[in-house]
Amino acid sequence: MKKYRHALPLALAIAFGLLTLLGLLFVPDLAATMTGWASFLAAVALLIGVINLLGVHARRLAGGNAYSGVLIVSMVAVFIFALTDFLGLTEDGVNTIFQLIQVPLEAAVASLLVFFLLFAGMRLLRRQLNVWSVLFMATVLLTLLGRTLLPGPLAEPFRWINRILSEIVVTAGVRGILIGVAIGIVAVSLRILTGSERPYDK
Amino acid sequence: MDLVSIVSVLLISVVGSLTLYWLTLRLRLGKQAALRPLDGYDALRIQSGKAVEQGRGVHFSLGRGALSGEAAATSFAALSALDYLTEDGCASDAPPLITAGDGTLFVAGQDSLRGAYGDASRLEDYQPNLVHFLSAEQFPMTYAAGASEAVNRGDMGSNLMLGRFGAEIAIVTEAADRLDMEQVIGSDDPTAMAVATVASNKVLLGEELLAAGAYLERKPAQIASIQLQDIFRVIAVVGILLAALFNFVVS
Repeated sequence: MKKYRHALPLALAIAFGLLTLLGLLFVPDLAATMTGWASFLAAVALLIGVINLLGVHARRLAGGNAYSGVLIVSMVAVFIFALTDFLGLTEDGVNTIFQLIQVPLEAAVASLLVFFLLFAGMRLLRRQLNVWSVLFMATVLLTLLGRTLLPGPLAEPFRWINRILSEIVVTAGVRGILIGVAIGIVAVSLRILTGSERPYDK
Repeated sequence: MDLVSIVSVLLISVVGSLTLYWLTLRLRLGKQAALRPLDGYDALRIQSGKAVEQGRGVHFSLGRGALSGEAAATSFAALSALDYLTEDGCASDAPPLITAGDGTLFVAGQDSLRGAYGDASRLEDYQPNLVHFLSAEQFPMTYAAGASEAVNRGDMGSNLMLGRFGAEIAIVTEAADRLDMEQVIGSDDPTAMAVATVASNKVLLGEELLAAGAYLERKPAQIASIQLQDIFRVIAVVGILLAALFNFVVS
């Protein structure tokens, strides 16, 4: 019985992996069915995650954390709106909440990213002052100068440097890294398809 | 899908699998293979010991890449690293606090922790609440806010972030940096890699992260897949050079 405990998940993983691969190549409907099943399981996992989130914050609320209370109230409010939307009592309630609260909050936090990055850059210089960190900060300054509203003739050389940096240096670097990532993904996929790696079998 | 794509995929799959099998066999028969040292994995290996020594926890974030999506390979690599850390941590009673920005990763994180407690014959100590779900995949800033909160709990000594992230990682690394935490960051996303390089010296860039199993578990099949990657890389480099030369001659 113990033998089957390991063999069954392995056989299932290899069979479904190969079926999906062959489906993608020859029978798109089969691949779509498989990925549909995977999406359904992912949705169930999301639901389990939301229940975990609720549990974690309920415990924190019991410990006196007011922010967790806000999270739970928000969660319940969205659930009520989803229910009233479903029953036809309200129209587009969940989407309205999303557009009025979630979208502006995400945008506000995202707009702070530039400051986080700038501070991280300064800290890099403090942590390790070598040729690479100086090169990094010089590139940051040149890029910023190339994108500011400097007067025409003064801005031109910075814009030119900016173009060289983004179109040649950055593109070449990123493509090199992405080719490496793609090769790595092929290797991981082959390991899983051949059963050499079994992340499902702990 | 056109015929060329179908033949290419089949060729890579069949030839790649056979080569992987052959390389694994060679390693099992005693052929040695050396892996170049990577600071990120060296740091990862000692985290559980450090946590016990310092009495402070380890925060491990699995990122936002669903196991059913295009970031699956990256997330599997992150889970390999997590398996290593949970195994080590549960045996020494210093399990990590795990956060996930996707439902499938959350479930896999719990499975990893449970498996590690099982291996240590201490299943009764397993606490599912050590794995936190933060947000759905499509809300990066919500995820960043949740992960920063986990870092800021006050009892964390290290911040490990391996998986699919974007620029939002800057918010979490900033929080960890302010608390002077050791950080190991690995991602396959170019933006996240750029941010990570600024935030920490122990960064696993792209394919280095995908080699997590080989570096941490050192099983023959995993080391063989690194050798396979090298073979593919040489083929890619030669192909690119030949294509560039061909274009140059034609033009």
